Amino acid sequence: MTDDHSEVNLCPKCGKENLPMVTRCVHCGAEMESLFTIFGQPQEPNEETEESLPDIIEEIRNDPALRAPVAPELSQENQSDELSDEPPIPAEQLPDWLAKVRERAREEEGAVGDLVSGINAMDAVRGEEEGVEGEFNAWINRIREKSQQENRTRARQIPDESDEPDQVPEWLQRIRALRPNPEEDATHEVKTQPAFSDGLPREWTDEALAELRRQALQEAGEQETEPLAGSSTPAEELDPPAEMTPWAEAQTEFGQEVPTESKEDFHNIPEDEAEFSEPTQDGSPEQPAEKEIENPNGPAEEQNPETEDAESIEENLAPLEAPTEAELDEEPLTEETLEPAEAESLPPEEVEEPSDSSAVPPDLLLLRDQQDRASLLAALVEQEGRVTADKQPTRKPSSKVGRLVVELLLIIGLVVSIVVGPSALAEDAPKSVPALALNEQIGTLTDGDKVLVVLDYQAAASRELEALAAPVLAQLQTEGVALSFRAIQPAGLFLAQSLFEKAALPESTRVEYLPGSYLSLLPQAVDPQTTNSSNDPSGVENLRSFKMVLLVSDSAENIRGWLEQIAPWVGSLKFAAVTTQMEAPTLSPYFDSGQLIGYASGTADGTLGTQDAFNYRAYRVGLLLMLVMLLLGIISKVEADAIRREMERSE
Amino acid sequence: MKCLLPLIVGVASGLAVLIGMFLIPQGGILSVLLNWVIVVASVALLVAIASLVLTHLRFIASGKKGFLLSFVLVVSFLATVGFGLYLGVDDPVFLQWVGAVVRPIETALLGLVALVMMSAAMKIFRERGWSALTVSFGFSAIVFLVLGLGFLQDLDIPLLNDAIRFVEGLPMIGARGLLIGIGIGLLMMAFRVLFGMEGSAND
Repeated sequence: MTDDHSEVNLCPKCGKENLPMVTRCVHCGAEMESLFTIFGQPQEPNEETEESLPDIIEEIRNDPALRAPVAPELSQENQSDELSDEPPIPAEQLPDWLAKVRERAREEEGAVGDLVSGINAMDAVRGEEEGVEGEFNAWINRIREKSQQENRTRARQIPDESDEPDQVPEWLQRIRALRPNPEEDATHEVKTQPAFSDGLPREWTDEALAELRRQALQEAGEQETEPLAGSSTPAEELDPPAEMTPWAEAQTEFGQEVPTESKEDFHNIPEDEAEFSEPTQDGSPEQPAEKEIENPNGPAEEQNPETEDAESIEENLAPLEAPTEAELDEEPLTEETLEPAEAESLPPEEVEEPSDSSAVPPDLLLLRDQQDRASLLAALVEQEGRVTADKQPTRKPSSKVGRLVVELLLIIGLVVSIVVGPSALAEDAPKSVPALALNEQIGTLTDGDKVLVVLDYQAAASRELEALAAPVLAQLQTEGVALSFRAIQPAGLFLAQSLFEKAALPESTRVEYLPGSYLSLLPQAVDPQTTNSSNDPSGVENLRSFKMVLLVSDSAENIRGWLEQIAPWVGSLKFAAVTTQMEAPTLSPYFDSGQLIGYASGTADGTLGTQDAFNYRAYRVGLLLMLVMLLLGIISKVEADAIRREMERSE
Repeated sequence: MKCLLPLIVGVASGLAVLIGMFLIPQGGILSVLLNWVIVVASVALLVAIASLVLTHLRFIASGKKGFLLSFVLVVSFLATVGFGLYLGVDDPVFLQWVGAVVRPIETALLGLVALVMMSAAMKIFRERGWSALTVSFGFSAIVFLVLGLGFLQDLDIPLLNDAIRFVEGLPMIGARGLLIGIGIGLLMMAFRVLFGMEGSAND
């Protein structure tokens, strides 16, 4: 049977298609109410359920939440297959509309054949039957699934509901429903069968609950798929469940099994019962026990009025909070823990037969999380008012007094060194080995020897270099050495004047500019024949005529160029240097190898002769200042690490 | 062709210098090449000066932020060129004026560099934390600063003087390694230029 047949109705009079819910045929105006009569049941016009059945189906069809998925179609097809195997319906049980159809078909012979008319009419009957029954089955399945999903959702949302302090927690409501008289607790055990005899896990988890419900659904499905003829036995022989609603009763009238809850799937939660009673339209009465739970002023509360106030809540809470999770598993299910109505609703074999002590009813297992919260609440109540452990005193980070003291001491030392220290270096201060070698080589020069002095420094280094070079130049001047000055940089032209002044040289001393530095002298160094060439831009007539080259430079790189590019070609030429203390370490290898006969650098080497341009006190102050800054950096880092460690320790 | 020409010039110059120094030193090839180098370097310096002046003139014309500094630079440059052309570069008065301006400026810059280095030395421990580099730097700096003060040398203890002399000779080890590295680097650079493998020649 296709979906088209399930969505249209054939008029029993004219045989044309109509919309599913029309009561009269749009073609011939014939009534179509007979389509909604129950096959095999006497039609009672005063039954409200039958009259409202099209409306119910219409609501189901229009309700998107209850729209049938793909799976129910398969079940419908199975049911249709089962229906097709049914024996033919007796003539006396034929409905009126079918009789009318057959009668009219007989009257209108020729329009369609008898066989065709019969087949059409039979298909129409079967289609209607399958449409109604299939929709009901799908509807019931969907309601079951929806209720299961809502139950799962509620089980997850229950802890959030317990956050409201003014309301009685739901777990307490459940326990109240199970234990209306808590003072009668310590009684005998209820000997029941194991609740999970099929090997399901004893730990009540979501998976276990889903498995249990799946089994219940399978059992219900097996009963539903039984033939209609035999449907009266299992469902009817069962004890009518307390939650049986009128729509379920109406369902039994269709000859189908009532979707009752299984033993493992029974509910004692008022909200759950309300969920199952939602389809009722007439507000049919529920079980008395459920009414008592829902209505706080009902008979149950009247029987046990002390449970309404907070004290009774705590009294009920105390025995529930005490057992731990392990105790809960071992706690036997007593008869008093169940409400009488619930105990009565249980099958007799569950009440009478002995049970495993480890078996716990599903509702109690459902409350495990809530009981954990209850035990936590009890622990908090017990600890209320007690003296807790003293708070660990947080040590404050060390003060900055120590740092300030150190800084003050360093500053005081700096000031004292400026005021009290010597202003000039002592004459007998020890000199470096290169400086002593330079002094010795200068002593070997005689009168008439020529020395080429190369000035290669910037104005920023002029104070230091002039302090070192001036005594050397003065000594050379006193020994009668002929000095020839060349400036590598343009600044050397005006810096030389200051040097001549400090070295007591005559102002008429000429300083020539040497473009290209030592590279301009390289041709002379390589080829001695180019000495007198007029194209020589250096102005130096003959490089080999000089006895010594004194390099006054603030760049070890330039000194290295002289030593590596010029010195190898001119073996008889000696090279000496006056440089800054910063560049001196770079020149030390050349002195160690003999390429430099000596060099002067630093403060101590400046005492080769008399000097007045160098302030040894200022030099020391500068060094002390740098030392203080460096120590402050180290101290601040150590202090920051200590503070960080203390903060981490306090945290 | 654009990339090939610098490559050819570089390789040819290198080979010519090597030939002039080692194969035919008497031919005067080296002298001619070095004169060319001096002329080209001088022209390049003039081009750099002209570019600098034009850039600052553009800043002044556009009123860019800090154009007053550009104005000072241009005026100083024009004054130096004018007085140099008028008095001559060997005039003592001209050299004294130039020296009176350049010397304090450069000295102040060097002092500023010293302060920056001091600040960096103080911050290096907080920025870099405790590591082998920072600890060795701090230790060596403290040692040589103390030795530079000369307090220990004033004690005139022979054993201490020997120790100080040994410690002061330690930088020579590092300097020697540095020089060896520089020499190897220059050699490799020369080979790259000669064989046309230097990337800068292709730019």
